[in-house]
Amino acid sequence: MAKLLTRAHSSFLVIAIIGLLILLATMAPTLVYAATYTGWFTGYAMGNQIGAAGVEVSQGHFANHSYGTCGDPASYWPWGTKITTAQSITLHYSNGAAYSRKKFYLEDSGDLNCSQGNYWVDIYFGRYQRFGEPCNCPGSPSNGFCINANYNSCNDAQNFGRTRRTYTGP
Amino acid sequence: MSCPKWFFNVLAMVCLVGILFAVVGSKPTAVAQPPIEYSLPEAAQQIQQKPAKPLTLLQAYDLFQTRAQRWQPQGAVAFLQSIDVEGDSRSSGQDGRRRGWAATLVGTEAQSTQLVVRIVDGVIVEESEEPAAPDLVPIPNKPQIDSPKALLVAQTAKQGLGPSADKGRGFHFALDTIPRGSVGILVRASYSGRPALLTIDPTKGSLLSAQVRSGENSGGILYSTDAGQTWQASNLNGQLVTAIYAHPLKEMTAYATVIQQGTIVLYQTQDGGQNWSALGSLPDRAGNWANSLAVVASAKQGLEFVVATSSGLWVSADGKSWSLNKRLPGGPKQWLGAAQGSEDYRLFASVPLGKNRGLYGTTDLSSWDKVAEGSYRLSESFDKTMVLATDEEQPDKALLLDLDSQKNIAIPGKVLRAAGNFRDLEATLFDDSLSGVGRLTNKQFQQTLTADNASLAVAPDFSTNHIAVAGGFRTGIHRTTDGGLTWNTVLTDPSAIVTGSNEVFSVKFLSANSVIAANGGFETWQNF
Repeated sequence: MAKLLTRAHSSFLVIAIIGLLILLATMAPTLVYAATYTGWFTGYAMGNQIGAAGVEVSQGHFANHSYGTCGDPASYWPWGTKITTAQSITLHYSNGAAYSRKKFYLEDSGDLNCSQGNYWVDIYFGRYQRFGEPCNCPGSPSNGFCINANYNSCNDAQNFGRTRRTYTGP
Repeated sequence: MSCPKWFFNVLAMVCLVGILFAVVGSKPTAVAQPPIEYSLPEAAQQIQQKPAKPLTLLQAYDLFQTRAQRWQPQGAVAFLQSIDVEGDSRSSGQDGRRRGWAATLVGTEAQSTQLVVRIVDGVIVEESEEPAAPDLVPIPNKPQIDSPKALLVAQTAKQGLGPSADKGRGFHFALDTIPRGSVGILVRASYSGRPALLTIDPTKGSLLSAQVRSGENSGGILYSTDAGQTWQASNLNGQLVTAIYAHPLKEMTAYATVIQQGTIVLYQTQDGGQNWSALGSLPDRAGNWANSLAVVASAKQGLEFVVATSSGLWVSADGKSWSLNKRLPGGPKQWLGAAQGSEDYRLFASVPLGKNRGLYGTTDLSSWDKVAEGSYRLSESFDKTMVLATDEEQPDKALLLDLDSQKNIAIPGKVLRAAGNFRDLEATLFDDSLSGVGRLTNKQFQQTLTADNASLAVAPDFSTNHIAVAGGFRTGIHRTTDGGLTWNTVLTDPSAIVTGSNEVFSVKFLSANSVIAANGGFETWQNF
């Protein structure tokens, strides 16, 4: 063994260990904690400008059950909670161009009567309406706040329908 | 085989240089701390071990603005809010400072990404570059008012403003676009038990608006006189109904809980749901939301109304005088279901969360027995003699409960609700959280309704007329006349009849032909 551990090997090991120690001492704990959940996803659009969290609801936001209700453990998640979906969800800009998103932030609440199961997520698809079309979408207050565009966000919400999704969260 | 000495030295130096580069390169550029995931329990412990360093809104703004400009030359804060972190209490933020902050940073207009950054105790704990949300614009100017001042303005303007105890504990602050399109400092708190939102002018420090979260003016009850084929609006239209319940013994009579000015009000109909009148209100301390309603009848006590809220279980004999039932263990009371006999009853209450999580039963409201552990939803049989208790975390099994017995039975999947004759599972409709609404045929579950569902009810004579109604989750109202094999959508837009969310969360038959359906309402911010 001693013969195998030549001087060359030793110097390599010493330098490598020192480097490793430096790295360990300064390295961020980059472990990413994430529990995995599976729940039904639905979509909504338009509606009021300000969500239950008190900030403007926009693409990238989602709603879940109100605090401490429905027997849903996710109802305790705080505002701003980030979830990451296993599969990306397609949304649209005002000009109709599509883009995909996997990260969503909790800024609203919904399903006040708990008809949906645990870890239900309601994805917000935006508030674009074409000229002359109503600013209404099922699941949102009618005559809400909309932005005139070449696209209708409610179509996205309705086409999204209800799908079972896996996602990571707190 | 041996390698020359110089080879190992060179290799070691390359490794060392690489490691040093990695170390230097891994430093966040703004607040020089390593990124760690905010929700990581180990990370949360590390954060807790460090001295808490709560920041004001402007201190957080400066950190994020610096980070934004190092990310992109024209980077800027577009949205900023305080967030809960592990260890925050209900008093957090009472000095205008918070430990946790999150911001969305944007670059140039052409930039297709945004940077979401979170800091805890002044340390960046998470960064995420992601597709830019459209219409997100930089906050044009640094506010001149800071969060301690904003909170003082809010509390001075609205006496009684208190910290929140829900999804944002304590007082929270945000810098965001407000409805007029300008920027405001938002103070999130509570007022009279309801979430409150006060908007402060970031330049002048004046109060721009004060709002509470309220759920009035939307929702209501529809009724049908032809077993669910056609629907009309009742006089409970534009009212936030949270629960409905059919009289246990008398046809055409039903009850509803309605939220009016933050109070739970009990309503009654005696004509099949067309006309409703208020019986009485629950006390303010009952809260402003009724999770569930049940009405039970016994020879000894007569009729008793039971309302489940997060504050507890409230009981009344007349709908006017209410008392808190203190015999049931603490925790949020979510679902109620009753097995009704001709002279007695057995009521079940579900406490789905907390240390007393479980299903409890009573025959007199005085003493409660724990029936099972778990988080159970409760469905009543068509004749109200049985309750089916299902827990979506315990698939393929359920509890069948009646006046004096209980037994475990096998059911298909993760059932959220059921309707029918629970003794004959092939004469029962299930809403399976995995598959949707369907029925058992030769012990195999067959999904028959593809639309997203929110409620189910079968006619009292379901075994002969095979009629059932399903309230959709934003999909209308659906009806079957063949026992659930096929469905027709009889109403595509319930909100065209009764304003609401199109989430038809409850359906009840009051006779063979009389049916009521509750359309959910919305919570919105309203001035106070």
